[in-house]
Amino acid sequence: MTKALSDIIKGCLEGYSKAQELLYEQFAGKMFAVCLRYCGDYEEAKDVLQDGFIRVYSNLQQFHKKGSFEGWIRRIMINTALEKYRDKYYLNRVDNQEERIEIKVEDDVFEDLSAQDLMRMIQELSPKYRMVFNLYAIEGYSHKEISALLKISVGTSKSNLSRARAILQEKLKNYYKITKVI
Amino acid sequence: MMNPDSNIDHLFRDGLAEMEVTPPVEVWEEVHNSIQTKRRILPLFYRVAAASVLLFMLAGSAWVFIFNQPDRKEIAEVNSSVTDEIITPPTNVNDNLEEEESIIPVTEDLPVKALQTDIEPVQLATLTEEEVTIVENQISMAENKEENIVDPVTNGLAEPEEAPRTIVTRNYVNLETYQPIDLLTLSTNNLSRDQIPLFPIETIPLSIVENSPRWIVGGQFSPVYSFRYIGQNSLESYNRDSYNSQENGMVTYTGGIHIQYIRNPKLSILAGIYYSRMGQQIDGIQLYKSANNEPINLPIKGNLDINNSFGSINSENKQLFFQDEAGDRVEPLFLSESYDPLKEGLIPVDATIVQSLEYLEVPLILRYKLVDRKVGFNILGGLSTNFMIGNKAYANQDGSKIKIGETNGLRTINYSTTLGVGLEYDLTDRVILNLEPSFKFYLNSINLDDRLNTHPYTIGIFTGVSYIFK
Repeated sequence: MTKALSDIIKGCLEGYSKAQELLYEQFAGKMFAVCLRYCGDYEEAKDVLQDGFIRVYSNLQQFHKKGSFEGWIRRIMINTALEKYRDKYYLNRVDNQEERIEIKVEDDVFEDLSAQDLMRMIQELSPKYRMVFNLYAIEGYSHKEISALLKISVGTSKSNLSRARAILQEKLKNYYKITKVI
Repeated sequence: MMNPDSNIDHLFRDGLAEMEVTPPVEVWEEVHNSIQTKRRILPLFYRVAAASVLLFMLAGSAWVFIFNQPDRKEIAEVNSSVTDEIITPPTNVNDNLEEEESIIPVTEDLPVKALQTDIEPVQLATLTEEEVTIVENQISMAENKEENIVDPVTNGLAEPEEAPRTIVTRNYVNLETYQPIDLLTLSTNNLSRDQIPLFPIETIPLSIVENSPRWIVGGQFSPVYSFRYIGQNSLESYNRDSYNSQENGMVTYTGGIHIQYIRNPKLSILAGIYYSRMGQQIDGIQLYKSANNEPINLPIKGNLDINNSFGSINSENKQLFFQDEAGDRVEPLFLSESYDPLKEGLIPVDATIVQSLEYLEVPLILRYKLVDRKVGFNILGGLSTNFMIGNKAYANQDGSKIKIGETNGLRTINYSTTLGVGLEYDLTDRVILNLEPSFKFYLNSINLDDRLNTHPYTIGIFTGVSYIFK
C-alpha cells in the first residue's frame, strides 16, 4: 500500500471528510465498473456502489493492512451486489428468463469502447449466468465457493457458467459480424 | 492450443480488468450524508457501556435503599408485633417468681412506639448482639414499668398497630428486683445478677441474628455448555447460515470464588472473580499436514486465515494447510482452486478445529431468596465484566491438540448478563451447599469487525460451598 493511501485511510479513520472524499475518488470509478458487471442496470449499480461505500467507511477499522486495500473494497462491493441479487432472486423470482433483451446502460458512461461492449454483453446475460460468470471467470472463485455464495449446487454453478460462456460466444460472433459489415 | 472457454474468460477478464466508470455525483453525496449521520449515532459499545453504568447505578441505589436502613428501624421492625396468646413461663424461670402478677413476659415483639426511647441509634449500633438483646429487654421493661401495665394475658402491652406475629421465644424478668440499666454505660460486666436476662443466651431471638450483617465467602464450579448466537445485522448475512450449520458448541468449565454480603434476609449482593473458558468447534474444513513435518511451501506471503463467527483464525502453524470443503472460509481464496494439497504430497488429517477463549469474569450479582428454609430457593441476576486472558485455536485429532494459532478480531473486554435460579442447603449454621443452574449471555458482540455480530453464551449448573461469617 502506498503511503498516500495509508494516509488517506488514517484520515478517514479519524473522521476527516476530505480524506473520505479522496478515498472515494480514488476507487469509485473502478468499483462502479465492478458494480455494473454484477448488476442488471445502471440504477441498481448506483445503489450497490452507494451501499458498498457506506460499508467501506463503516468497517474501515477492520481492514488489517495485510492484503490489498483495493481487493478488500472490491470484495465488499461484490458481497453487496450478491446480497442484492439474493434478495431479488429469492423474493421476487423474476429473473428466470433465459436472456435479457433490453440494454439499460447508456453508451456515454463508458470511457473504454471495447470494455463497454464487453460490459454490455455481460449485462445482457440473465442474472444467474451473469453472477456465475463474474465470480468464476473474472474474480477467480471456484465452483465450490460459488455454490456456497449463491446457495446453488456445484453442478448448477458449472452448467450456468457453461451456458453463460455459450451465450457470450454467440454475442461475440454477432459483434464481429456487425463490425466487419461496418 | 488454448481452451476456448478459457479464451472467453481471459477476454472478459483482461478487457474489464482496468475498466473505470465515473459514477454520478449524487452517489458521493448520499454516501457522505450517510456516513456523517452514522458518526453522530453513538457506537454500540458506548451504548452498552452506558446501559451498564445505568444498571450499576440502579443496583447501587437499591443497595443504599435496601441495606442502609437505620438500626433502630431494623430492630423496631423485628419487634413490630405482639402476640396475645397466654404465655407459659419456661422452665428456667427464677424460682422466686411465684405470683403471676409479678411476672412480665419481656417479649422481643414490641410495637414500634415502645422503642421511642432516648437511646440514640448509634449507641445501639455499637453494641454486640448479646448486648442488643439485653438492651431490648431492658427497653421493653422500661416501657412496661412506666405505664404500670402488668397484664399476664396481654403481656402488658398495647395492641399493635400492625398485624400480630407469633413468636417462639419468651423472656421473663423479675419485676421485684428489676433495676433500669444505664444504657449509655451498658456492658454485661456491669450488670448485676438481676439485670442479666433470665433466659439463656442461646434463646436470643433468631430473627435478630438473621438480620445482622453477614458476609459469605464461597466458591463455585460448573461444567458449562458454551456456544454463541449470531445477530441478524451482520454485513455478510449469507455467512450466518454457513457458520450456523458448520460450527458447534462445546463443553468447557468455569469456576471461581466470591464474596456475598447479606443484611436483608431476602436480598444479597455477590461479587467475585471467576475463571471461565468458552469456545466452539468448526466443521467442514479439511486439514492437511506436511509429510516430513517441515513447513509447507505455499505460494503466498502471509498465513492462511480461517474465517468464522468469532473472527478469523490466523494459522501460524506452517506445517498445516486448510481447505474449506464447501465454502469460502479459508483465505486466500484462490489457493483452494489452484493448490492441490494431495499433489503436493500433503497428508489429510482427520481433525476438528477448536477455538478456545479464556476469560476472567468479575460478576456483580443480586440474589433474591424466595424460600428461606433449610433448603432455600433463590433467583439471581446481574452483570459481569469479562477480561479475555487466553485465545487459542487448535486442531483436535483424537484428543491430541495440534496448535494452529489464535483468533483475530476479538474484543478483550466484554460485558455479560447472568440469570439463574439456585437451591441452597444449610449443612450447618455456617456452611451452605448450593446448586445453581444459570445462563450467561454476552451483551456485546465479541467481534471487533462490525460485519460480525456474535454473542457467546454459556449454560451451566454450578455447585459450590459457602461459609458464613457472622
